Amino acid sequence: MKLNFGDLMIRRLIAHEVPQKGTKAGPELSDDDKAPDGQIESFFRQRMTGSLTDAGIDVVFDPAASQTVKDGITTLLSDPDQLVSVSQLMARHLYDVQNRQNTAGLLVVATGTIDARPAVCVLKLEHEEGIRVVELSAGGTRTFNLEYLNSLVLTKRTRVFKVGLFVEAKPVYARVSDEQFGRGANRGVAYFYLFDFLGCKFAAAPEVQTKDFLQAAQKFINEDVTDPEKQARYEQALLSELNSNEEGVKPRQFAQKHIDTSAERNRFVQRVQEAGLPTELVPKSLGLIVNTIKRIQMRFENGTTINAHPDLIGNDLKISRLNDGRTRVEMEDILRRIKPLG
Amino acid sequence: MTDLESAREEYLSLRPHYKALIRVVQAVLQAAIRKEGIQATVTGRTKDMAQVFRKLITKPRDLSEIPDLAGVRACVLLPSDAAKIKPCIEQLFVVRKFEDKRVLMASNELGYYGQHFDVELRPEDAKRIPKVARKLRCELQVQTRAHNLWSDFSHDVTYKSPTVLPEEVVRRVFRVVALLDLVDTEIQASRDAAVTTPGFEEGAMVVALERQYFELTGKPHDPALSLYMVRGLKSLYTDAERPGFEARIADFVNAQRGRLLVRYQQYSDNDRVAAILFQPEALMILERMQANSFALREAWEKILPIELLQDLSDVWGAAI
Repeated sequence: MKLNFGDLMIRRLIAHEVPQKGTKAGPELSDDDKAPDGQIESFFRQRMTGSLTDAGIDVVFDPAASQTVKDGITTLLSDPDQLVSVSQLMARHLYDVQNRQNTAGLLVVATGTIDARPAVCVLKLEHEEGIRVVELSAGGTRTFNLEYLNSLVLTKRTRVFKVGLFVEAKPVYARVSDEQFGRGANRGVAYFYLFDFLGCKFAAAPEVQTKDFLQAAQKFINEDVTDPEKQARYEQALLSELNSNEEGVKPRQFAQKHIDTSAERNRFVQRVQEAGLPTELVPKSLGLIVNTIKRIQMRFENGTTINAHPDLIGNDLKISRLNDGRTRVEMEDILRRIKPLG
Repeated sequence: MTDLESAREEYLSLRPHYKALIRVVQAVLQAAIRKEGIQATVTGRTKDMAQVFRKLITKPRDLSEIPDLAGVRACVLLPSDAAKIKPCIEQLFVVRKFEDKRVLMASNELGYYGQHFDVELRPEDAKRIPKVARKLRCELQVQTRAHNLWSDFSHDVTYKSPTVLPEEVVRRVFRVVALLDLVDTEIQASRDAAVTTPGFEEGAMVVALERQYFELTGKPHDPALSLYMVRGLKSLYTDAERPGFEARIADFVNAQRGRLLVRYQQYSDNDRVAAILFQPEALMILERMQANSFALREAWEKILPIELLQDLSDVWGAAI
């Protein structure tokens, strides 16, 4: 389903305090939902849109996982008036499944529509700290009062929040974004929200998508780029990206960071789209390509093949294009061994 | 039945098909010149029966040999626009005959300067009209407004005149021709001079954006910021694309009108969320965001903090 997340309209929302496991007896539940005012609604929408667009992954409910959230979503999509009771169940479920590693936060559940379809948003926000500055003037003297705040939950710069969007369809369309996803160190925390709490799994197999991404990128490098120096540099960046600790590949970001011109970047993104992949975030799993991304192989028309570690490109192994279209490869090293082949 | 009567019958039966042909020729040409940013009025007509009779009487022939039974006229403001239309026509239609009236004239002659094309529809467009009309031809005239005035005027004088005009009248007519020739030259020269004036192009782009913006929201904007942004981002359109800027923005707004109206309504009391949204140039930025977001990002980073663009992309629901 192709949705523009900016079209989301939030009608009602409710928030429950979910403390860290073991610190309190359970979540502190709200008993009433509210229609957000215009400013709150647009702020939530804008933050969620950005997150779902830039870092969202399509997911599906996992029949093998807990059905609490799934059942709640199904109820809310058909009867949004059940928001209070359903969201309370979700808050209890979140408290139950989390462990001491998970931080305290606020569970916000919102109902609304997107593209005229009923929709439910499930957000987990963490408390942030900040200082509020209040200007005071008394007796002709101006001062600034600094007030410490520890109850902020969503600011323009908040990066620690997780969003699940569920839209009525058969089956339900679901997309999850997690600002912590893609950072290797937080893998457990991020996956906890998706798998343990929401009871979802990725809609497409990450190992297949990663392989498709590699193939799309190779197609771009070999068919759309003609300068051998660039080809080698892009290849090196690609393998470095795939071999990194990141849990996801962000094709647009990759293009922005490693590809030289906007025309080439557009072509690269087009290649990714042609492969049927999302252009924002592809969950990474190297299962099917682990043996093909260790070294770079260059094959030449005269039959010569060079296999090199990606890190050597541009350093010990210099590649350049000659005026006549041929490629020059320069390398200086100590020859260890020479032998017949084939 | 006389030859004239049978020609009349034939023309009456073909006339609806000529009309169908004219509609398609007009639509195809209009769409193309709009994209090129050419200011032109495109009109069409079938020849009236009296004119057909007059042609057949003065020079007896088959009806099909009269070239302008269907006529479409593109009337442009600038002579340079007339030159730009020619390649469009050659690309859009099957041109059977072309005449540049100016080229046919000696250097010491003055007269009508239009370009005339005898065209048929290309097969893909011909599918839009009945089979019987597909092989019919249409005369396509391209002329400046000044020469359009001359052509209407001369038509009026020559067709209505029962006899040879007195020399004094002919002299007057030629003075008009000379004046109109001068009008064309001066319009082109002053336009060329204006376009090269610093800020003219950006100003015209802002005017085009404002025209669309105020159809969507009544919120006031900061004109100085508009000019600054347009100046910084105009390179996102190539020299060839810039003349068609207004049409491009209009097309974008038409295609996205529903979504734009919702966004302006959603954020009407919250312009803090997306300061740029309530600037006319937001339309240009959103159009580029869809067309070439990488180039937009690159150009943006040279003039403003990227967070502002990120805000707008979040509001719009697109990735940058």
